[in-house]
Amino acid sequence: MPQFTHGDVTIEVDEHGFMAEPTAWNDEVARALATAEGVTEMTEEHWKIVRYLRDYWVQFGIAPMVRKLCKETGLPLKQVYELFPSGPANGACKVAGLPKPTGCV
Amino acid sequence: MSDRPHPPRVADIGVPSEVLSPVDLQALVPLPPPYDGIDARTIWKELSAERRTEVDASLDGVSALSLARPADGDGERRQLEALAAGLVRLLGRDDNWAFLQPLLLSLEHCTHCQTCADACPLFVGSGGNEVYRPTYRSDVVRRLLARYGPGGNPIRAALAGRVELNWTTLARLAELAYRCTLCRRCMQSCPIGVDNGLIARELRKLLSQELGIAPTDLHAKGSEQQLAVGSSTGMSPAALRDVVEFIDEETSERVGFKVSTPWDREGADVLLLHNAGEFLSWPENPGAFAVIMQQAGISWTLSSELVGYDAVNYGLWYDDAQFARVATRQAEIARRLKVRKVVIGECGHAHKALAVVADRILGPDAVPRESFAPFLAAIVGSGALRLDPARNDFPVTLHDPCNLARGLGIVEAPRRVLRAVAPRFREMTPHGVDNYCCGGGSGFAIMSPNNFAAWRTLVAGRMKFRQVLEAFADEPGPDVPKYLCAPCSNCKGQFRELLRAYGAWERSRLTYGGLVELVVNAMTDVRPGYLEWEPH
Amino acid sequence: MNLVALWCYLTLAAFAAGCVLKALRYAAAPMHLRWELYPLPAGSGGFGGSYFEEVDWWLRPQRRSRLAELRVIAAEVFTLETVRAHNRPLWLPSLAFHWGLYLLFALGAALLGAGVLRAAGAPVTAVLDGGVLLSAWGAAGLGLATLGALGLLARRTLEPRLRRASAPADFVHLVLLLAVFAASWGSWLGADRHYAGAAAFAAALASFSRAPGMSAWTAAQVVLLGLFLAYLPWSHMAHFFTKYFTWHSVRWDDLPADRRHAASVRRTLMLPAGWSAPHVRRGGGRTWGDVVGGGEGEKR
Repeated sequence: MPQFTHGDVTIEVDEHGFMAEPTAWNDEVARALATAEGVTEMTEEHWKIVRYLRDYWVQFGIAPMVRKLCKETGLPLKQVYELFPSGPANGACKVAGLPKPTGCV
Repeated sequence: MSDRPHPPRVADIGVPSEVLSPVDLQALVPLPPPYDGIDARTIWKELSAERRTEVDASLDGVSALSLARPADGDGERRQLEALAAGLVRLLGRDDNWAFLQPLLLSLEHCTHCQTCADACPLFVGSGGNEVYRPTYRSDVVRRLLARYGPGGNPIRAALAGRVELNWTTLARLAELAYRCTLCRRCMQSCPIGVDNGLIARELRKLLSQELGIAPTDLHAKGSEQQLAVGSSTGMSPAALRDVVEFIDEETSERVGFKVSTPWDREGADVLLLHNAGEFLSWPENPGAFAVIMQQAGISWTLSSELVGYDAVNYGLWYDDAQFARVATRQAEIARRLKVRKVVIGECGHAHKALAVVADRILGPDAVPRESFAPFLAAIVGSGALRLDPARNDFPVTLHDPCNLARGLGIVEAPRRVLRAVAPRFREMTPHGVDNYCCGGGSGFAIMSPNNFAAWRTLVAGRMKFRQVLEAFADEPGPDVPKYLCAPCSNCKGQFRELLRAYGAWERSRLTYGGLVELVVNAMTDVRPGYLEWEPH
Repeated sequence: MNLVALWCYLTLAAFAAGCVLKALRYAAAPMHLRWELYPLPAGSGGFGGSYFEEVDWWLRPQRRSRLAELRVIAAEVFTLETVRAHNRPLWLPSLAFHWGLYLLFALGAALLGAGVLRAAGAPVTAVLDGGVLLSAWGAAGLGLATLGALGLLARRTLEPRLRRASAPADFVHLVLLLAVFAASWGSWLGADRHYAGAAAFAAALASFSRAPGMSAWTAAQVVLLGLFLAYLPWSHMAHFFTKYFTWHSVRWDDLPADRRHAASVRRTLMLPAGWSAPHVRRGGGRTWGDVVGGGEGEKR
């Protein structure tokens, strides 16, 4: 299993860079993963997205629909892409420590 | 074709080499302008040298299974013994009663006339890559059987041709099982009726049921997840309710009146069964179904029970045990809900799995299963919905999902709908039962290990993409928005990737979606603009 | 009884037994799950002959047309329709080859039939004793078959992709058949232009009486033909009758589940399922019924 290391943080990731053990996530890990997504500093808006994704996943076991993410955080999709260049699924979800979405999604 | 060294023979599959038959990006079937200017290397993904030491990609440089060579000779031997044991089981009356007759017929009557090769979109689209030839894979199986299978003997082996049973053969053959979308164009063109797609599928079954080898996305994170959690997407019933509640809200806002989804309504006329991926990726599709059901006054319901809200059945492609488990669960849920019928939503393989292949397992007393296609056509034809086709004033073409057209013979029903709601509809060539596979069939659309997704986009989907472009050849530019109607979740997943990889939105204003969205877009009761014209 | 006649009895019996055994093997195979392919020959519903094109299809009478099926099969047999539609370059040599074989088999059957009738004392038209008609019939069949076989062999040998994709058996079949044809030409040209000898031989076979002497060519023809016929059922050439199964039993079998199917499935669910993978064995049981019931799934 490949590893991702940044500073003091070392975690196992799958071949696409998503956390292999999503429960081992914390803010430090989030910041570390963000750097791999080209986000050098996490702003309030970055955290808004990440917290929402994380809470939703903890409650429901899957990532929320993109549309719902935008609605609940008040951030349009375009802005989400500006904050996380890889997009909500491949970028933001990864930083929030979610596993890679499976199935026809 | 390119001038690489001579194409491999069937026997070469067991001869170790770095790559038996590399994908030749120069040989891919050409696309019409402006796509002819795209360098395929920008879409392709080459496996790193390091990755190639971890997983076997020696068939064609692609890895679908992330197969690692066993650590020692013992491990290899065990796998080879398992393969040999699996071959015996595949031909056993007890172990393979479900498909024995069709399989034997296909194994024993091929004349190698190669009529099937010209019909195969993978073989043709790749520019004739030898290992994608339908008979190549089937012949490895035949030769192994003639040599090592039940009834194998030296005469049969000599007549069938050489092959060696070693780990190289095993690894490459396993990968090769996942270079066929089971579209069955080969069977359609075979003068004798041999089905190379069936042989590929049975090979996958052998690998899964005997060796435990199957793509993660189909098994561990696919059918297993569906059985444990309720859906292959990992969506639990609780998550489902939250998602659909949101979709109802959004849909209501969009259309201008309240739309709500009924749950677990006993005695309803229709249990609607969606591919659960629709809720998450294409919510406007189940949303459109809800609008239509409501406005047409249908007594319907969704199920919130485990497996009851996910139409998929991946086992159809690779594993009889998983197939039967999912199908029987789905049928049981329908039975307990006492619905009059199950209507299968826009998911191709769900049709084939639940309505056709599982039919004899479920028996004559099971709740009957119907396709959304005639169901929708009847609603549209009845006049229950007030429609203004002028709202769909843009070119539309139809992709016939393989499982609907060749798998269930459903060709006319979607066209009855399109004739009513899409005034600028035009056919692709060929279409109907002669259609080309989107390249995402048999689970490819949801598999993305290593560089498989790139292969699927570039090679498996090549013929289809060219076909789509040719369908709009009269109005190709980005000034004319155009709609590719693809009433199948997996096909849509593949089209999403194809259109994104080739920049089809920017270059051609080409977008895709299902059939129900087109209908709702034309409903006069609905606020205009149900369809959103943006890349998704 | 001379050796050639003995060989004939043995190989003809082997041919018949082989065909019967093969057919039984397929007919007696367990009921398979549906794996049909559309379009079906004009049947009940919409375009592709599918009842799935209709709403509430289970409430409507199932319409099937034997005639439509026969029409498709006839087109297959007499014009090799699928080859014509999907592989035009193959079509002419294959058509010539098949028509030649049809004529030759018909000739053989007619001669044998005549022999049987004579042995039974029934009158038989003198035409089948030998003569110009038989000669033309034989030559036409042999001519078409030889041309066709040469064409097929040439394609297989000269076209790289066909050569690459062929199994040794494909060449063996054609070479063996061409040997039969060569001996047959030798026999026709050199010894038995009007098939009088063949007719007499057939009569002797049918009545188990002493076969007349024959030339070396004819003997070679009979020996090689017998070898070919005895081998045929065990090769893909058996498609001449197994196509009933591939097309009718598999490709066109869209029968909805009925009591018969249900009874068969009840039986097969009790069969032992030997597959070894853990997810199959989950649930602990041995039968297919156990396997289907053992589907709790594992969340990863």
